[in-house]
Amino acid sequence: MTWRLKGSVEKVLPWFIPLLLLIGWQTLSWMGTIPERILPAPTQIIVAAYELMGTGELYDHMSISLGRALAGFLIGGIIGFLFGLFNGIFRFADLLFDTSIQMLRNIPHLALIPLVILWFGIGETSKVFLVALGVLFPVYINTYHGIKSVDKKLIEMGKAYGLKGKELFFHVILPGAMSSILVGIRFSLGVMWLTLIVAETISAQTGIGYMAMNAREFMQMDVIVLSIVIYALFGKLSDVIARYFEGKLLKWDR
Amino acid sequence: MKKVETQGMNVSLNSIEKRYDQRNVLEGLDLKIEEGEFVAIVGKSGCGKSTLLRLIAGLENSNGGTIELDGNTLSGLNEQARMMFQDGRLLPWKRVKDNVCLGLSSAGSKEKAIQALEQVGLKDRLDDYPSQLSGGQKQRVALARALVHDPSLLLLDEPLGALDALTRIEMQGLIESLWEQRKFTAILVTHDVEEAVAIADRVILIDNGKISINQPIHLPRPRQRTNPDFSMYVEEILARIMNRKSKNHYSIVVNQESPIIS
Ligand SMILES: Nc1ncnc2c1ncn2[C@@H]1O[C@H](COP(=O)(O)OP(=O)(O)O)[C@@H](O)[C@H]1O
Ligand SMILES: [Mg+2]
Repeated sequence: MTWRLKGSVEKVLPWFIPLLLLIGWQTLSWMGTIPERILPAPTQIIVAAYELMGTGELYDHMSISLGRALAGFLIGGIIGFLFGLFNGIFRFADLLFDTSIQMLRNIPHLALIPLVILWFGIGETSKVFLVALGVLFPVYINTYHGIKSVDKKLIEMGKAYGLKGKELFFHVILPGAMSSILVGIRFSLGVMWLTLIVAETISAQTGIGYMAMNAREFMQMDVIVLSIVIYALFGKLSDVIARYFEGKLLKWDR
Repeated sequence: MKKVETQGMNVSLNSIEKRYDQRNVLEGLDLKIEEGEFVAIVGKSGCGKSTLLRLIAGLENSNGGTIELDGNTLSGLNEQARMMFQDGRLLPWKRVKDNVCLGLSSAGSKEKAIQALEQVGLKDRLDDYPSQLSGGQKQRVALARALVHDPSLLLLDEPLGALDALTRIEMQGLIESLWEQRKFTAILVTHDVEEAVAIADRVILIDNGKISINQPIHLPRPRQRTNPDFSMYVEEILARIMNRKSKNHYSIVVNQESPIIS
C-alpha cells in the first residue's frame, strides 16, 4: 500500500531530518555537550561567515576557488569532450589516441600533486591543471562511450533518409549520446570539487581550502567548518545546475 | 499546397548476390517490379528479406549482380526510395513533427510534415514525443515520415509486425489507400501471408537465396478476407513456405512465368 501525500508535505518532508539534526547540534552546543573546540555551534559559523564577509575576505576566497574550478572544468571538459567525440566517430583517431588515453587514465591525478608543484609552483596554473586533468577523463570516457553506443539502427535510418556528415551528427549521433555525456559531466563536477579541495588544502595562498588551512593554524574552528560548508554548498549548486540542464536536454526521455 | 501525384518506379534486380562472412544470403536473385506495383515478400526468418530491402535502398552493396531503377543502375543511396522499419526508428528526442521533417530541406518542410501527418490521421499529435504514442501511432508517424518525401519507391520492412491484429488491419487499409492515391511502387516485407494476400498485387517467396514463388494475386480491391479465393491463396502460399503439399488440388508452380492460380 502506498501513502498518498499532499504536495506540500512531499516538499517539506525530505528536509525534516536535516533540520532536526541542525536543531540538535545547536542545542547540544548551547548545553556544552559538544565542546566549542571540537565543533562550534551553527550560530557561531554564521557569525564567522558574517565577519569574513565584512572584511571582503570570504568573497575573495570564494571567487578565486570558483574561478579555478570553472577554468579547470572548461579546459579539461572541452579537451575530454573533443577527444571523446573524435575517437567515437573516426576510426583513425580512435586507433591513434584511445589506448594512450586509457593508459593515462589509470594514473590517479592527485598522485601528480608533488610533480605538479615542482612543475608549476603553487600558483594558479597548478590548481587549474589538476582540476582539468581530473575532469578530462570522466568526460572523455562517457562521451566516447555515448557515441559508440548510439543505436546503429537509428544511424542506418538517418542514412536512409539522406542524412550525412554534419546533419547525421547533430540530428542523430549527438542527441543519442547526450544522456551519457551528461552523466560524464555530472560525475566530473564531483571530481572537480574534490580535486580543488585537495589542491587548495595542500598548496595554496588563496581560496577556500587555503582559508581552512590558515584557520587551522589559529585554531579557528568556526572558519574551518565554514569552509567545509561552503564546499558542500558549491557542490550542491553545481549538481542543481547539472540537473537543470539534464532536464532541459533530456526532456524527451520520460 | 496540393500533393503532386507521385510516379512509381521500375525496379529490376539482376542475379543479385549477397554474402556476409562467407555465408551466402542471396544467391543470384532475379526480380522485376513494374512501376506502381505492390509486391509483398514473404519467407522464413533470416532468409534475407531485410537484406534485399537494404540493397534496394542503397544502404548496402551487393557482392554481385545489378539493381536497375527505371533502367539506371543503382550506385550509392537510392534517393527516390524511402524505407519504413519494423521498429519505427523514430528519433526519441524529436517531436513528432520534427521526426517527419527529418531529411527535408527546410523550405516549406513544416507544412509538408503537417500535411503528411494529416493523411495518417495524427495531426493533433504534432508536438508529442514518440514515447507518448502507442505502437500503432508510432508506425503512422514513420509512414508519414516516409511519404513526406514523395518517394517513388516505398520499402516496408515488416512495418506492422509488432502491432495488434486490429491496428494492423487498420494500417493495412491506410497503406493500401495511400498507395492507390499516390501510385508509388511498394515492396512490403511481411511474415503474415494473409497481410501479403490482402494488400499486394504479387506475393514473392524467398527461399535459399532465390525467389521460389512469384504469385500474382488476382482479387478485386478492396479485398474481402472472407472470399474463398482469398483463403485459397493464403493456404497455397503457406503450404509452399512450410514445404508441404497443400490439401487443395491447386499447386503453385515454381516457374515464375506461369503461376497455376490465375
Ligand atoms: N550486417 C550483417 N552482418 C552479418 N550477417 C548479417 C547482417 N545482416 C544480416 N545478416 C544475416 O543475413 C541473413 C539474412 O538476414 P535478414 O535479411 O535480416 O533476414 P530476414 O529479414 O529475412 O529475417 C541472416 O542470417 C542474418 O544473420
Ligand atoms: Mg528482417
